[in-house]
Amino acid sequence: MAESARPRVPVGIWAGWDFPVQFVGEGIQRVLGMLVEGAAESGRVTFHIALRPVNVASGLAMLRGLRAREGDSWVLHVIEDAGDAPPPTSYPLMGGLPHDLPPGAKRLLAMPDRRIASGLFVAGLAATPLFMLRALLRPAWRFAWTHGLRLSVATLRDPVTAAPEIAVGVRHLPGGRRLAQALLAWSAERQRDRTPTPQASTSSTPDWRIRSLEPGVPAGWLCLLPNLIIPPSIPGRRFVMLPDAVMLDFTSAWNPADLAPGGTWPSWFSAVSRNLAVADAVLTISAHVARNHVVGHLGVDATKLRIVPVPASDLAVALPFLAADRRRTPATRHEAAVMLRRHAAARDWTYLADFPLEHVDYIAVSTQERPNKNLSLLIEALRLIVQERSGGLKLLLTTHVVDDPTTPCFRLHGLLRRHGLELDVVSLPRLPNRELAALFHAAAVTVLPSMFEGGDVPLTFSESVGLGTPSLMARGPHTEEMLEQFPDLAPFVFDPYDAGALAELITQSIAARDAVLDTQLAVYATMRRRGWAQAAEEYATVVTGVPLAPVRRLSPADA
Amino acid sequence: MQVTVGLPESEDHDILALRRWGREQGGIGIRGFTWRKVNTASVRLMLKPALLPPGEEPVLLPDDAGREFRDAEAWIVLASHTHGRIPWLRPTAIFCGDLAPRRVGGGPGSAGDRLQLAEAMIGWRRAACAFATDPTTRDDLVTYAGIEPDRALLAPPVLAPPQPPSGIGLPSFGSDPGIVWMTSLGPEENHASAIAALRLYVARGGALDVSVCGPGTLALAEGGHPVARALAEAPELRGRLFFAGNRPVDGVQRLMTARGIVWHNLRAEIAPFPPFDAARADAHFVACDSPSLRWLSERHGIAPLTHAPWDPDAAANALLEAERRLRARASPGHAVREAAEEELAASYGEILRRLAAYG
Repeated sequence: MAESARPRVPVGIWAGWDFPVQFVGEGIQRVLGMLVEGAAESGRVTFHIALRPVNVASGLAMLRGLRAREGDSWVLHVIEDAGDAPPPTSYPLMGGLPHDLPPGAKRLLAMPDRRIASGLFVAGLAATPLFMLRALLRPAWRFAWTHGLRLSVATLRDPVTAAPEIAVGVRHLPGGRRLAQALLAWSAERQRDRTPTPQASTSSTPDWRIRSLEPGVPAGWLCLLPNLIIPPSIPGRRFVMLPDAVMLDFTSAWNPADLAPGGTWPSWFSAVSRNLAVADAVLTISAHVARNHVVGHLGVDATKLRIVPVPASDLAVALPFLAADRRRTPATRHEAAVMLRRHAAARDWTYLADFPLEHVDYIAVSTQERPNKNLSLLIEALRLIVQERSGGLKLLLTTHVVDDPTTPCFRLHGLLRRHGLELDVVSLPRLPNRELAALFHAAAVTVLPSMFEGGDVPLTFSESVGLGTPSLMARGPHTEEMLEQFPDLAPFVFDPYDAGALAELITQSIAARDAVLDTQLAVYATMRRRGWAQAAEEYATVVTGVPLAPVRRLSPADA
Repeated sequence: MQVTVGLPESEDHDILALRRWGREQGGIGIRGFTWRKVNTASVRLMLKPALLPPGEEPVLLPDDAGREFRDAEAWIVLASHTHGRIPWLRPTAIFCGDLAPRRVGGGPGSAGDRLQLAEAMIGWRRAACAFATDPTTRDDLVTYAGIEPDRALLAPPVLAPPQPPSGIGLPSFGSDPGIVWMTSLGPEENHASAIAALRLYVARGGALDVSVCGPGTLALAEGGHPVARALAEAPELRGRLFFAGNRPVDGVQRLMTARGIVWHNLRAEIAPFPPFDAARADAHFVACDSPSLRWLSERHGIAPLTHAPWDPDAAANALLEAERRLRARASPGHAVREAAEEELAASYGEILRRLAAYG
């Protein structure tokens, strides 16, 4: 960290999620943390991060845990609604209870805990029938919501878009065919009447404001995700980060309700269209997303594209016992296993709480379960190793194992039950950075079976190799782009459809772990020449126009 | 040392015969028992709280927990996958014959049973030690059950002494020579693949009848079972397959000797009993290939004809080869070698030493 005294360039980061998000684990939130540490290292950038009140506490927890000084590398701003009360001058949500408690909470604090316990007991008894009723009705409600109710609710928001879907349902009712035709005609007519420009709908954006901003600072905002709308009430130029539009390539694997009118993805596209229309530039983390998704599918002018790849990550600081050469030793493996056991015990994960992980070969996978993640391939490879080849390998995942048969991409739960692999495939969701580092370090190998990632070099690769664990990756547009720069990694890229080959590669890589790591560490050293400091400067260059670092554009050949 | 063997009450054990055997051996008491779920508070009346598994309600207790089980200096537990909530009354050594649920998806311990299995294995971690008789299962004790490697031991299998004749005759059906298919009801028994293999065996000229032996195998012929349904679609197997059910050990061995070929088509060949039974009966032994079987064969002089568990074609060919050898009067090639006395004493002595030290 080099917190220098040079003037810093202020860059706005718009992270206006209106719902609670976690600032640990995977996703863009982790990238934000790394960028802030990059700003600290660079000493030339200050990120002004704007969050909704609902995320201030967890955002602060993450930011204050970084190797970056508040006020220099980052400043937090609270996005308020016009009708909100003024935010506190300091952040009371960390380090103890807020002083300004609601009166009800103050009354509770004055009572003895025993009395509160009695009251809770009575309340629990009284609510038991409601809990039971809720549990009984939940499957029916969920089924109904997925298969009709959601669509019906969508009609209230956007009847024109929802009408064709409703017509599909009503045409089978007695006399419904005529009604369905009428609905379709009406919808088509109304669609024609609609103004196609995205700006037309900005009137529905909230009237948000940020009191803590000084005039003209920052001059521009970088939207962390392309669907996070910055309302017109916020001053400054707009730049949009578009890590990927993955649903374009994996449409059918999402929950049908997400694809229906008013569902997640139509709303996403609507918001992205509005954002792209007002953006001065669009930033991607790979050329393939810029080319295929942003220019090809979303129709953005290629000259507006800037490509800022995610640099190699280094989690080594999370493991103070790690040797300088980053390699795993029996002692460091034991330390990592102890960290994981402690974490598991604190969360009542009884199977792992005293599991001798330092004596067990396991695959670590840090990802969520999404259509592009291809986890079923890895499950099949593990099944082959354990059940057909009598191996003793385990698979430790950071994703939740979701039991949701209505969403095609959530296959993990069913696969594990069908193959009886529940105790060999274990989920450790929401791991903090320290424990994630321990998970990677004690692993025999990490695998990313994803068919598609928005970047080029998967983050898992650098995090894993940087902690002394070899990494294997599936072939896809991301790894093809990676191989253009780092052809030495070709032997570690596998066919995303061939579980047998993956099982073989995993077995061979574990057997030749040191040799694989030698090759990968050499590549990692090359990757690390471009760090997060440079990435932070590249973002600042795009947003402010101050030339801190050269930024890649989409070449004419790419476009 | 006095040894009491407790066996869960079930039809699988002939308790009277075992007691007789125990008396003849001298100093070995055999008793049956039944597990019951008991409220933890009630159990605390009898046992010290420190001996109870933490946070479990209710616990499983054998009916006579107040007597031999409580008063024994140590237990050797023949681990069951489903008896997780056993209070660890005294130092225990866990014997694990196999962890088949790991190797067979949808096999024993599938679906909801995995929770019980995990619970049992977590209990094993509190034992003085656990031991297995093949390296694969010993590794599974570490990588699946989560037992520290230095407390997961490998001990050689101990062959049961020859059993006294039960007086039950050979079944009247089926040809001599023939094939004895050792199986049971579990999904790990690979029935679909076995029926497919037998159809191929017959189609390629295999001429031997098949006697199906093992616990519960009479139910295989009943209408609802997938084996019965598969047989209904295999007319060529009618009159060639006979269900002999579960028979006493000596009866099975005489049947093996008479038929000449033993087939064990388990998807994960782990338990050592059929290979040794076949070798003692001097029968050709056909089985699925697995690291456990290879290890057992090399160390103990079993000569199996192996095939891939998932390959009916290979299984049919292995059966045909066994038939060819049998008709050519070729020796099965077994040369059974038991573990040396010193090795047995060292391995099992170590287990007893750990029990004593743990106490």
